[in-house]
Amino acid sequence: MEERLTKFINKKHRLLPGFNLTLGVATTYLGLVVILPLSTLILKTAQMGWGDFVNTVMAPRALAAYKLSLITSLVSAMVNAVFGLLVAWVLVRYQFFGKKIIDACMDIPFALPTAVAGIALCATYSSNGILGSYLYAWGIQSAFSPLGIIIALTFIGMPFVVRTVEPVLKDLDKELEEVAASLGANRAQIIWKVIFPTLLPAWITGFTLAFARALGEYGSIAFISGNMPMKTEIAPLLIMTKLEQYDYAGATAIALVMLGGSFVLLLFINGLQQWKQRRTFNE
Amino acid sequence: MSIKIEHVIKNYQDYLALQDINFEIQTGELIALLGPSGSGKTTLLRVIAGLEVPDSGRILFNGEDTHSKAVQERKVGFVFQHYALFKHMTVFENIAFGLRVKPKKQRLDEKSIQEKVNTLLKLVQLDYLGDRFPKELSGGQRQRVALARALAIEPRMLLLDEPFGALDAKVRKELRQWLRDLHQSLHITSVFVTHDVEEALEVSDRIVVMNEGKIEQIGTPDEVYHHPANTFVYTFIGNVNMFRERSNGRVSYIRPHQLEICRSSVDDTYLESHITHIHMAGPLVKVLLTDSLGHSFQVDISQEDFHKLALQKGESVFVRPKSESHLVQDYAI
Repeated sequence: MEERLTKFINKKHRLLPGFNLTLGVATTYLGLVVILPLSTLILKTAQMGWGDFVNTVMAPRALAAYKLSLITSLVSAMVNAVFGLLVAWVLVRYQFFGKKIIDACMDIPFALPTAVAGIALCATYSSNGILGSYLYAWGIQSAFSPLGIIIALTFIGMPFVVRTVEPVLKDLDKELEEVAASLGANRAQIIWKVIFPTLLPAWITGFTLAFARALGEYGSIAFISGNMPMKTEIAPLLIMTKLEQYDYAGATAIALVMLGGSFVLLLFINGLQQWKQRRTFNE
Repeated sequence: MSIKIEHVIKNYQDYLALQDINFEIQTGELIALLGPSGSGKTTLLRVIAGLEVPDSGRILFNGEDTHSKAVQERKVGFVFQHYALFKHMTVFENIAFGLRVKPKKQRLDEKSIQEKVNTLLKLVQLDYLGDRFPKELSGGQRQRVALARALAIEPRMLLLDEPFGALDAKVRKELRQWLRDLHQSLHITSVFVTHDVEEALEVSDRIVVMNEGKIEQIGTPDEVYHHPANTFVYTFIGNVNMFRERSNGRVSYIRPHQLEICRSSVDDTYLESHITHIHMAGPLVKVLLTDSLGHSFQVDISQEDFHKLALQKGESVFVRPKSESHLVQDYAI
């Protein structure tokens, strides 16, 4: 009886049929494309013993790589969050000559092979590059340094914030600003108290995407970082080095840590976002 | 506060939204801007609020030119059709918004803000919903929050853009009665835009009838209904039948309730017609008829008269004006 009852409750009437089918396809797809390859990562790593795993994963060189990856990714995502918001604002709110071109340029980091980006950035920021020559003269080492890595990651992650914030900004009800103005709010108050809270969820999503992208980036960093162990070696590069030395288990062990770390971080940010959305807006 | 509108003109790229608008609103009046869509009524309201800048002309508040005053300085309470509530704030914070954004020197302390918002919540009968979010409220409740938010800044006037347009019929009726009562107790100069004739007639002290960017008539609901200034107002306000005389092509207008139906004719003022349809529901019976020329028109008669005459669909009857004076000849255009 009880079983029947739960069955009855679970079987909701749906206007569009195909819940089972679509859910089945979705999980199969996710399984084949994401879960299966990732599980081989665990299998491969399992070939090494527990002791070896800890030694590999906790090696000073690996720790330095995680730390560098995390910090540079965070900094670049934050830079993108600020300037991406600004770019989205300009693209949505103003009409100017060349807007279409700027709009199209925003997507270049999406499409460009990352190695090409790396070469281009190297040519710009190295000591004899167009910008680099000036920066080096000022004592700023803009290539083969953590700063170089941040520059490359910023380039790669820029479209994420712009493209997630843009549609929300476009749909923003003009009446909200008008009503705020009629209630006496000045420009800054309208932006800070009305527009920004509305954009916040999309903005955080954009930040998260840029951050996640930066964590996994490899191609554009390979050139500009210089790959100095303990100094400018990010985790994906360390994995690559291990692969080149045929240390497959070592490479997957590091990869597993990166994966776990990213997963926890992304869960945390998503949770933060949901909490923020539910929370009462108080000053 | 009195509002004077002088020679206001507003052009949009493709059309003239306001063509030389002139009128005055007295302190404490409740004015309806009535007209079909595209008549410029909303544009006029936005110009008064300072949300649009007129191409030429002046708006005077208590005799003072407002031209250099931004929306923020005008102290007008503006209410939108779709409420425009801040979704990320509670009802309480929505209402407190205007109080919190004031410059530090003029801002009330937190306790006074709390008191004031609570008073306003009581005024709009929502004191138990202060900590809800807008999405948790019904349309009528949302519009009352919007109104309370506008009243919080103690505006010098209240401007409402189709305030009940998005609500269902029953709530709309309740809310407009409530607005009428509220206005009676607060006596704040108010202007509301509507395309609903009944709403304008029921709620306002005076109606400004607009069409194609011009004012067609300004008057009390009684004046506008019983003494329409021109054909447009006549046809726009309430139901009207139009009769064209065969001999000279002249057009006459008469309202459905000003006609009567008889079983027999006495002289040639009676018009022989066919009953094509009968609507029984409501206080009046609406009888649709067609005359010998094929023109259709409507007569409203009381339930009593209807039963006395025992009218049937398809019957031939005679129709005439209850009094000759009701028949209005076409205006010279």
